[in-house]
Formats: sequence, structure tokens, C-alpha cells
Amino acid sequence: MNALEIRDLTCGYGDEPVIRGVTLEVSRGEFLGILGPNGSGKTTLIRAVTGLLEPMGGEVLIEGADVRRLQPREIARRVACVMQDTAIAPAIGNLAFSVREIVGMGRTPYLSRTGWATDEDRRAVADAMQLAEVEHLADRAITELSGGERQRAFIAMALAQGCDTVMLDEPTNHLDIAHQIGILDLFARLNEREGTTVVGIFHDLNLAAEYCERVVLLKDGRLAESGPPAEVFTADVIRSVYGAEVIVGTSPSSGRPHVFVGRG
Amino acid sequence: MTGGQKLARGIIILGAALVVSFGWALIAGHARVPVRGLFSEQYAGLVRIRAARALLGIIVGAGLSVSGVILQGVLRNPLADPYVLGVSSGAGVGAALAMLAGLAAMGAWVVPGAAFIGAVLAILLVYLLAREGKAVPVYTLLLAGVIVNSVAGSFLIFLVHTTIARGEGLHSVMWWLLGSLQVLEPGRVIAAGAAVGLGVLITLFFTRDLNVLSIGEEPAAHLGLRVERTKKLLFVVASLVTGAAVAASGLIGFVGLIVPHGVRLVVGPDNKVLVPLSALAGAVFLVIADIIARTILPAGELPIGVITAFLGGPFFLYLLRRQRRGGVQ
Repeated sequence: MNALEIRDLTCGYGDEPVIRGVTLEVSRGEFLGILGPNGSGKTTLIRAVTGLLEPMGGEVLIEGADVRRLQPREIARRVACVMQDTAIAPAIGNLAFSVREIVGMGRTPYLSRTGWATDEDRRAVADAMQLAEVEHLADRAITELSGGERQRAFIAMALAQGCDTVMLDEPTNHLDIAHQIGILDLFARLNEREGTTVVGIFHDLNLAAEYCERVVLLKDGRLAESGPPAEVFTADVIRSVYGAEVIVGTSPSSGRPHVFVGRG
Repeated sequence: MTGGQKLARGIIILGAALVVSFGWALIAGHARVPVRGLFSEQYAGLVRIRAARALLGIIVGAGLSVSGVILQGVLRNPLADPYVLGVSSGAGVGAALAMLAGLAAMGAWVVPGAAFIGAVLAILLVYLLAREGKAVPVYTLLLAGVIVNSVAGSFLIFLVHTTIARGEGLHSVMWWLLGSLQVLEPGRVIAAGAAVGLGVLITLFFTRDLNVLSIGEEPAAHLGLRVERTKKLLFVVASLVTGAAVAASGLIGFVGLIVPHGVRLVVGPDNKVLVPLSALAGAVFLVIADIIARTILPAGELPIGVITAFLGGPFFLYLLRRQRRGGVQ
């Protein structure tokens, strides 16, 4: 069974479709990158997969189950999301939630309305903090952290959800290159060791080329290309999808394609 | 200390404080009741009046505090409060309109019901005025609240003057604007007690949702929360509780701001602990504020809203400054 199956999906906001007839299968354990120009429907696709947007046509299956038939909590036990920038509610002084409490929120889909967290929840939170390397920040207020630390805390929260599939919406946006690599290495490890399916939106073609087994390119809400980075990232494809002139070379270390900017 | 331990300890301490302040409320006043006289025939009438008044203080204090916690959580704004945002004024307009239309005689539920509708409309108006796209910026919300508060407040005064001019004013302008725990309509106290009890009970089932909303609506939805449904329900609960409180006691300000933040300072931001302890602390706070209001002048009494505004206004400014320095928008 595939981790995700998107069949002829059309969806959007109001009457205006943003995604128009996309079909995409994501197999278990895959590391897939979704790329495309601004407004091509990448984030909308994530919202449709996690049930935040109702499809206008077609369907989305998570591990074989139709998203429309799943409760929001059931979806949240199957797919976790890391957003590009989570805006925390402003808090007075140091009265914000601690990192441990934020990571604990990842257990929400397993907890009853009134019950307290169990030992199993606490273990999941501890494991997630260890994986995301935020144990040393556990008791710090989330509002005190730097951008990179905060993003790691929210990654730990998503990991605490205990899902087989993780979706990333440009999780390394606004972060410096060390944090970018650190965070993507983390998901690569998770993908290799735990077999977690990773579906990530990337803005940076080179990061995607380095980390993804397969990339799909969206253009105007349609699937333009799909395949391994070495096949998809060609000057012709980038020109037709992004309308940009680039030169594609090869990384000396990994042998993966590398996109160079060609100045107009 | 775990959340459960904090909650248990808080309930014991605040429960004891509530018993003590309730007892104090029976004794204190311009006519002092000796402790021994509490159960004697001689003071029975006075004790009964003071007990009813303290009971209303417990109901209104708990209700306004929990309403503050809800608004702060759902609007993701630490400065939200039913009074500051004009929700209380909206409830006042609803209640006054019902009284003016002569509907009060139809039952104890009519005026609180009308106040509830006024509160819902005020919340919606403030929310829609302040919303920019998907976000509700902290200061825009406060400005929208100030506007709705002053317009609804003026309309309320107009209505109250109209009733007084017609010789049928149930309450004075002073009662409306600064509130009073004096029990004029026992039915309305019962109605307020039922509404606040129900509202607090429902809120206790949504404390985890309030926690999760603090990381934003979309991340909360990714954790399996039905965000729109939850927000609507909690707005309704805050309106119900505020409406019932206003119908029974007029506009008592800042309770929803002072109490939850005071409790947060001690127990932190977790709503599972914050909601029940704010209800208890609000009850204690208003009972004590009323004792002060009744006894601070050599004769007569001060409107209770003067006491709460005296404490709440500076506290609001303090929070505003700390909020700005915190700088997280």
C-alpha cells in the first residue's frame, strides 16, 4: 500500500481551483520533494492531503483510507506537518509554553479531552526531543529561542505525533545554511532508519536535488514533471516550469545535479 | 510539579480562600455581624442578603475570569478581556433593550438571553473589524475593542436614560457602567449561576484545544483540532457567561484580565490548570473586591467597578508594556 495516493485531485479556495487534476503516488519510505514556482499550489496540496481543504474533485488516500472518511484526529496520527514558520501566540513576559509543553502538544491526537498525558506520551515526547536535538532546551520558553531552535522544537512536536508520514512546508525557510543542512539531515536519518515517508516542499532546487529520491514539479496547479532529480533537473525543464535560465552541473561530492544561476 | 499536582494544590488553596472570603463577606459591612450571630435569628435577614451577594460575586467573578481566559486563548491575544473588547457593553445593550421592551417580566432567562445575543454580536463585530486576512493583530484587536466598547457603551447610556425618563428604569446609569453585586432579582442570580456553571464546565472540556490554538490555527488543525468549530463554540461560551454576568451585575471591568494573568504568574500558561484555577480565583477576587466596595467609605458603598478598574487599569498598562518588550507578534 502506498503512503499517499492522490488521484485526479482538484481543490482550492472558494470556487477557484489552485490544484487542477493532480495524480501522485508516494510509496512508503520515499523521500519526495515537491517544487514549483510561487503560487503553483504546493502548500495547497499539503492542505488537501491533511484534510484542511475539501477536494472539489478527485480523492486523497492516506495509507489506503479516503481523507474525507477520516476524523481530523485520525489524519493527525498518520501525517504530521512542519510548517515554514510557526507564529506562536504572543505571551506576556516569560509566560509562554516551554519547549517540552510544545512538543507535548504533538500528542494531542492521542489524548482524550480531559485526560492527562500518560507515561507513553512522556516517552514519545522525550524520544522526539532527542531526535530533534532539543533536549537541552526542554524547559526554555518557546518565545525565547532563536529561529533555528524554535523550528527544531516544532519538528520535535511533529515527531511526537508518531506518524509514518511527515510533510514539510519549506521547513528551512529563513534559516541559515547550517540549520538548513542540520534539519534536512535529521529528516534523511529518520527516512533511512525509521522508514518514515518524507514529503517536502522545497524552494531551493539544490537542497531538493541533494536530499530527495524523487522530485515532482508543479506548474499552475498541474503536475509538470516527476522523476529522480538527475532526470528532472535539466535546463529545459527548469526553463519551461520556472521560466528561468539556468545551467545544470553536477555536485562533485554526491554526483547529484546542481543548478547554477545564469545571469541574464 | 506536574499539571495535576499544580491543579490539586491550587484547588485546595483557592478553595480555602473562597470559604474564608465568603465567611468574611457575611460578617463585614457597616453593620457588623458577630461570628456568633451568623446562625442566630437576630441577624438572619442581613446574613441572607450578604450570602446572596457573595454568591453572585462568586458566579460573576468565575464567569468573567473564564471568559477572559477563553478570549485570550481563541484570539491569541494576552490583552483580551470581555470588558476591554466591548463584549460586556454589547451584553449590556442587549440586556437594556430587553428591559426597555418590557420583556423582563416574561421570565428570569429573558434579560440574560438578550445580553448573550448582545455579547455574541459584539465579539463578532470586534473579531471581523480586527481581522486582517487570517491573523488578528494584537493592537488592531484592542483598537476595534475600544471602538465597539465606546459605541456600545454610549448606546447603553442612551437606552438607560430613555428608561429612566419613562420612569421605569430598573437600574441607574451607575449600576450599568460600574456594576454592583447587590441582588435585585434573585431569578437573575440563579440564571447567571446556571449559565456560568454550564459555561465553565464546557470550557473545562476544551482546555487542551485552547493550549493547541496558541501555536496558530493551521498548526492546530494539523494536530487534529477542528479549529473553526472550536472557535465558534468557545465564542458562544464566552458570550453566554459574559451575558449572564452583565445581566445580573452590570459592567464590572478588568476581572477577565487581572485574574487569569495573576494565576498564570503562579501556575504558567497551561489551560488545563489555568481554567479551573481562574474560575476559583475570580470568585475569591470579586467577593473580596465587593467587601472592599461595601466597607471602604464611612457610609454607603462604592460601585465595585471602581475597585476592579482601579486595580485593572494599571495592571493592563503593565501588561501592555511587558507585551511590547516581549516583542513576539
